[in-house]
Amino acid sequence: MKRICIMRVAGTNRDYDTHEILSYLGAASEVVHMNEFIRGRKSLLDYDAFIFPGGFSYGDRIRSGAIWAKQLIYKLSSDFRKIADEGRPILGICNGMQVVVEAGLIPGLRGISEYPEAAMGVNASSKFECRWVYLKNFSRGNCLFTKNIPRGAVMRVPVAHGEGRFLLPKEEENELLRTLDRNDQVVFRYCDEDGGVAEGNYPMNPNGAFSDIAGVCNPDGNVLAFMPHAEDACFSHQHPDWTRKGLKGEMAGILIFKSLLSHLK
Amino acid sequence: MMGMSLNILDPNSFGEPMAKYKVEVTYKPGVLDAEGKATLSALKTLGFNVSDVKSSKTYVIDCSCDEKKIDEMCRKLLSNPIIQNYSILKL
Repeated sequence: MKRICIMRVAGTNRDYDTHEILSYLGAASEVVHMNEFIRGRKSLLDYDAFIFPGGFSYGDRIRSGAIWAKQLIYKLSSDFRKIADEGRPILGICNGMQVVVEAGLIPGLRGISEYPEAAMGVNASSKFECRWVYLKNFSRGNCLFTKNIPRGAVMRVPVAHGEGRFLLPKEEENELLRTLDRNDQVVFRYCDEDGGVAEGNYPMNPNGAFSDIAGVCNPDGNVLAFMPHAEDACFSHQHPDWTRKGLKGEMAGILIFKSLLSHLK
Repeated sequence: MMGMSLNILDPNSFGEPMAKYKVEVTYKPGVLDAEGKATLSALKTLGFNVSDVKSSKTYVIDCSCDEKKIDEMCRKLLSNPIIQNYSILKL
């Protein structure tokens, strides 16, 4: 059975929720502290996929995700590069998105970059945004984490972040966006209930992310940086309307994890 | 003379003498500075006639290294070049 590593460090707090979903789906997932890899007690190469869950790694010091990202690059350098280059799936959720962006995996137009080529800025509202939003799937099939999600599907998921504003270098953002669109790297955009793209408007776009980007992958489609909490939108009982609307069963967020498992089969 | 003998005793001092640097990280123009914005609003609430506030983060680093090394620290960890600028001052 394929093994999924849910990595954690001090301040990670969404690791076991993610583990619960994967266990429910029958996957072999394991929560592993980063130090296990640094001390050589475990090897990244023994895992088939990786999830960097949400939380506040290292208390969000310096910038959210920055310290964890640099540890990956400088402490686990060759193995970390190897798993990314080999195309093993890597999913960064919320703080995990901040980590993969700071680590230079996203947008990854020329492989892993030495310095970040994108940034997660402070929310345009200056507030910590913690509520449910709508997303639209824009992937044309490149991103492995959307294999089970119909193109154009609208999903309702929660966000909970203070630094979720995906930004590209200002002077070349439009040119880079064209490249990302051409490469099928823009995976999810914030939208309204009917799927109309937010076009930067608050509160549909909760953080002012450039081009409403909520999820973005690398050119090979094996690394997804995803700002909302997919693990909190997997079952009807997690949904704010579950009694009012009599919702039952699974919700859209679970499709991201099902897509990963379909890919690993 | 005194400083010289201290440096010899300090294992970190080989190569470069111990120095103190101040690194200041600021947001690039046009990037939202939430801390500055909130401070501006709070100062106005208190009746101060303030037109703008910019926040920055300062690190004071003791290091037996040259400025080039501090620059590397800024590029590798302390700043994100997409949204931030930095300046280095030897104290």
